[in-house]
Amino acid sequence: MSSYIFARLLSLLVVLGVVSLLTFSLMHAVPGGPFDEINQRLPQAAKANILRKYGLDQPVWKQYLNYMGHVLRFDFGIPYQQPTTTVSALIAKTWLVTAQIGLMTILLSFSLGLAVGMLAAYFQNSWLDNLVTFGAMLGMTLPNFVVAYWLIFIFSVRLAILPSGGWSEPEHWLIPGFFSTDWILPVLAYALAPFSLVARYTRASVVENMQGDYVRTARAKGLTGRTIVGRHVLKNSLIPMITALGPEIPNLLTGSIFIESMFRIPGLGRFFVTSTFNRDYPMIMALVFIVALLWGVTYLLTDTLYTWIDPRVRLGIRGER
Amino acid sequence: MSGTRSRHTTGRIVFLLILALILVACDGGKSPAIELSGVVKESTPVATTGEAETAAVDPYLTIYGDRLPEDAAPYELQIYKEACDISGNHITFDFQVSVYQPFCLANLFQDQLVSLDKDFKVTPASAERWEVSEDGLTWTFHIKPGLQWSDGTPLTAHDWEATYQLIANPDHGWDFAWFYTGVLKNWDEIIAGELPPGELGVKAVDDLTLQIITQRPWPPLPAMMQFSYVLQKKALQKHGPLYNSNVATSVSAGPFMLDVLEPGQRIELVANPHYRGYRPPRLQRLIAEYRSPDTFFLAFQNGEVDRVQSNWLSPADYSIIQSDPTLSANYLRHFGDFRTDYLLFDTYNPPFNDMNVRKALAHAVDREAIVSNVFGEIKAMPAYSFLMPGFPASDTEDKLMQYQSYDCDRAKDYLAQAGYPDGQGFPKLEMWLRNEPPAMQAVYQAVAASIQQCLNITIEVSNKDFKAYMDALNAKPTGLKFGAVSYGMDYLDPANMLGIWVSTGRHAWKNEEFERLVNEAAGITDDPVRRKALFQEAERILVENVGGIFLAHRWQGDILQPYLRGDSIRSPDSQGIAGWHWGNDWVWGNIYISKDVVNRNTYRTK
Amino acid sequence: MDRTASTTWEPPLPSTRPRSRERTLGGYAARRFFKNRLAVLGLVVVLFFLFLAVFAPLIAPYPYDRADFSKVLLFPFEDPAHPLGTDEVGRDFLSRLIYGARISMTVGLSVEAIALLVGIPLGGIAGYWGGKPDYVISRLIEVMTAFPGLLFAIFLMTLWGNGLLKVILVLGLTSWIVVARLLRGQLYALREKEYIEAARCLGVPRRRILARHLLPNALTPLLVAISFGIPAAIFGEAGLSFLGLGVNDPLPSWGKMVGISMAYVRVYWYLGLFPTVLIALSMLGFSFVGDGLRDALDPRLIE
Repeated sequence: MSSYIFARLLSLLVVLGVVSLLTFSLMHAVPGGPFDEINQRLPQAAKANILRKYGLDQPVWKQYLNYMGHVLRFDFGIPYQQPTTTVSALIAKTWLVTAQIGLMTILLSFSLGLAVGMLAAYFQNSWLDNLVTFGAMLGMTLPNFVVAYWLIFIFSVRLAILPSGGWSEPEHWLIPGFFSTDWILPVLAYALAPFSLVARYTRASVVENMQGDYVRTARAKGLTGRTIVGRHVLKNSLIPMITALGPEIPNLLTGSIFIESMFRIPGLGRFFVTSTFNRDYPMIMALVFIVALLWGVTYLLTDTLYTWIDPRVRLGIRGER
Repeated sequence: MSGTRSRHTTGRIVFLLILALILVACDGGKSPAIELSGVVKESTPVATTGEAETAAVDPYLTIYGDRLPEDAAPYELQIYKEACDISGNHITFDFQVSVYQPFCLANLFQDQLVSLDKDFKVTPASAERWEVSEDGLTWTFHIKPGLQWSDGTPLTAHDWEATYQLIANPDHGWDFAWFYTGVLKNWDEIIAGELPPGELGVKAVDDLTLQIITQRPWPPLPAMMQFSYVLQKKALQKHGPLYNSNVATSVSAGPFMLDVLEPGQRIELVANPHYRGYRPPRLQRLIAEYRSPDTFFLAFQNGEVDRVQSNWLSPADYSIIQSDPTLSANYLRHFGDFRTDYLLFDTYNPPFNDMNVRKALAHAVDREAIVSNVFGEIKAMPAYSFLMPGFPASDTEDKLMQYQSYDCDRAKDYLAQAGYPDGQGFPKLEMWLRNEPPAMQAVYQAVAASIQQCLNITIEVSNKDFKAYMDALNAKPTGLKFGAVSYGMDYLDPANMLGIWVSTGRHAWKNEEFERLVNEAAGITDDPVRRKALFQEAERILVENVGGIFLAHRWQGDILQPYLRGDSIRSPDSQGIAGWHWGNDWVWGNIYISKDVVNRNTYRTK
Repeated sequence: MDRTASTTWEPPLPSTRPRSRERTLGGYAARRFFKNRLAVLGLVVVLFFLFLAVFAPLIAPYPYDRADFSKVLLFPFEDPAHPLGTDEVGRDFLSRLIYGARISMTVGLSVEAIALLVGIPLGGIAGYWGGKPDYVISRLIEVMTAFPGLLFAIFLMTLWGNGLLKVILVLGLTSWIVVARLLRGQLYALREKEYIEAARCLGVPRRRILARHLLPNALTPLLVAISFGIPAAIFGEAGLSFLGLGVNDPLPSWGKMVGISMAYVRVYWYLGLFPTVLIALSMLGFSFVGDGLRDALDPRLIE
């Protein structure tokens, strides 16, 4: 197993290399650069000055090699959006916040979703099941900025019991240092969709597996419904669930621009969009690295989990019979 | 697997925990732990302790010893809060570092040489007076004595000299470098790296005298000095141009100093006790909080911000404002930067190289109906020419209306003359927009629909990525075939507005007579009547030749809290318009919070 | 479906024998499907929207781009000529919603079709063969996941212009990943199962095992994924439109209408409500159909 993991980590490096090359080329191929004129045309010389200052007057391949050289020394450059700091520092600061929301959202949505989904499957076709199914649909349909907007409107403006935004503001701590009311609305808004997703997949998987032979065997053996569902069915439902829901984790950990801008959260999410639109090359590259890393690790984990859950699954480069 | 059961239980526990917390939050609605946002900040400024004692003596005195107006709230409540766009690209407080990427509450750490009053007339600021030499080439600005930076260093002409040399320096890469092209002596050569920055025509004769030398006689120069934001020479040498982005190295000669800078969260400025300039502020603290623009007006209604500008107000917000008498009375609109919306084309290639086609489209836009119903009369007025009535040399008598008036029959005639009777054979057009918000998208779609329905041609509207649009627009030859855009003035002179239409600018249109007129008029120093006449004729050519199709002039404005007061915003200008005028820097020294903030639910009340 | 076979049909034994399914799967599935009320409801909804999409020019009272500036932002039922009101440019809202079905359905179905066309073969190969093919395909998946979709969307749009085809291409590029991963995961679990072993012992060629036995069993999560994938594609198109990268105006798409409505929704609620409801309904429809198909096709469900 450890050699497998080691091999996977090596391939992750290859993936990072390929992604960086593709992204770098794409970045420079897209029309419009970071320092284009906003209003009036700049004199040729002035434009050239700006480009030279940022090293953008060199041929693209040279810029790429230069950039990668710095990356290997863990120097990711300076973001054009905030030139007084470095990319590493900016990401470290903002990702901390985003990861925090992401983790809370994952915790809430997955645990609730699993619980609700299993309940629905257990009481299949009852009113509870139908309610859950319908609710999950709704939760999936509503875009999270719509949910955020109405949450703010109801809880912040009308009822005035929760803050409309900010992050860990000193006035908003419920249990200082431990829990802030700033966190409630954003996490709720963010968790609705993944919660629905988890509930739905859980239900579907569990329902399907409840029909399996081993269920009848277990029933014949005299095990109670709860044990069956809890122990056996869930375990077998897990593999497709992990495949479907695993990807949610990196998604949630990289944040949502909508949630973060609606609730004034100084996180990483907005940089995905603003960096692209402002052609902030260093930030774009750094974000791509992060995403690639996160996903690579997630895929590695889920593949490893397959074997752990179902020992019959065999992996590895020579995984086939 | 026991893990699954515990997960089940864990899920329940977490759920109950959260439920409990929400219930607790409901109960503690009135408790200080859960407030909407912000509490009253400490009233003492960051400065020395001496002032704190003075403030305690008379709560209505500012730190400068001035008495607040009769109806003002106590000094400790003189806090102003703004909303800042969290999705914006902000890198500096200083114009001379970047014009298009400023932090909120920018440029308050200094006073320029001059400022503008409510009628856009140039008034003294850091300079008390100025004169121009006989040959019109040398302007001498006399700086008011006694001005200083917050570290005690005097503010002198050397600071301006150093700042201008900075922005001319090729290594600095200033994004506004076009502004002084053809104006300041040696500017073009220095930008191109042919001469050192020391050769620039901005010289400190002594501590209080600054000389500005132009390439040719240029009457609008004092107006252009509204942009003469200054940086401290000492700090530039020690810390570089971004010295204001750090509280430790920031230094101010303006009414406010930097107190808190957290990009993406908040910015706080505090009244500068060392300030000696012309606009000592009545406010003691300015706060800008980063928010999503969708929530600006919501925050305003919630009492969390004191002002929202018109470009952040959505159509629904306007609807709410207009149906509420108090809100309507506190929405103050003004000229802003005389911004005009218009359509532009590539006139060097078909189909727009045929003037008949351009005329056809110009007469096919029902501006009145679109402005009344789609744009909104509170936000705009129909435009038939480029300069908004109220701007110098603008068409205030509707003399230019005939060239682009709405007349569908005439439009059809022109199109037929161009060889496309009833729109037959006319290519499908794609109108490009420059990343416009929904309200403007609606306006341009209405324009497209108007043309489409009158001329029986097909027009699609495409809201492009900002950078891609500008890239296409500025390319030579242009990549933009047909698009919509707006422009607002940089300084109050037709040389500026009309100047963007010369063929070296961003428009794919050329008319030699037009260029000749604009060039000649710009340099006239002694004959204002003739100058105006030449500009008017130039504009007539622009409109008649349909260099662009002019759609609307924008009214800008702000929705202000009723307790935000001050003559600078509440008293009308000579045209009867009250509002937070563009370029009127005195506002920051004049506005204050009135007494009736105490009875309202704002971030100031406990 | 072959209904005559159902009169002599007998329910399959719990340990499914592959042979019997070939004869009866279709008919049996169809019957079971149509007995499921929710599934039928979903089918009706989907067919209704497809009908709207195909026959829009005949059903809609006005062209979707006809603007009347004297009738801007009318509320529903304010003007009898415009039962669902008018939008911010003065166009009939009902007509735009009907035409919107065209874009949304087209995008949703095409993108998902691409996802299946690309994802199933890739996922199938990776999941069943394992080894080198799995290695390469998994790395490809990782690269594609990290690849900045937004940047690529801007690139494609600015180079080749806007348009429905480009939108579908851009969305399709990322949509196949989920399908491939799901299938791969399912196959990993399934290929060790007993009846597969049995089939192999019997000498059934690998490809046949994949097509006849593994795929149908892997269907369940796939169906659920598809039923989410279509609305996801509709949302993806909305997001792109919101950022200026979708279809051009005045072409209406429900997602774009929702995005634009945010600036109006506090007062003009209908601009946001109706398209959202339609997206939700279409999603419900596809989901119920997906559920129904799963229930109908699942070989292990016993009456």
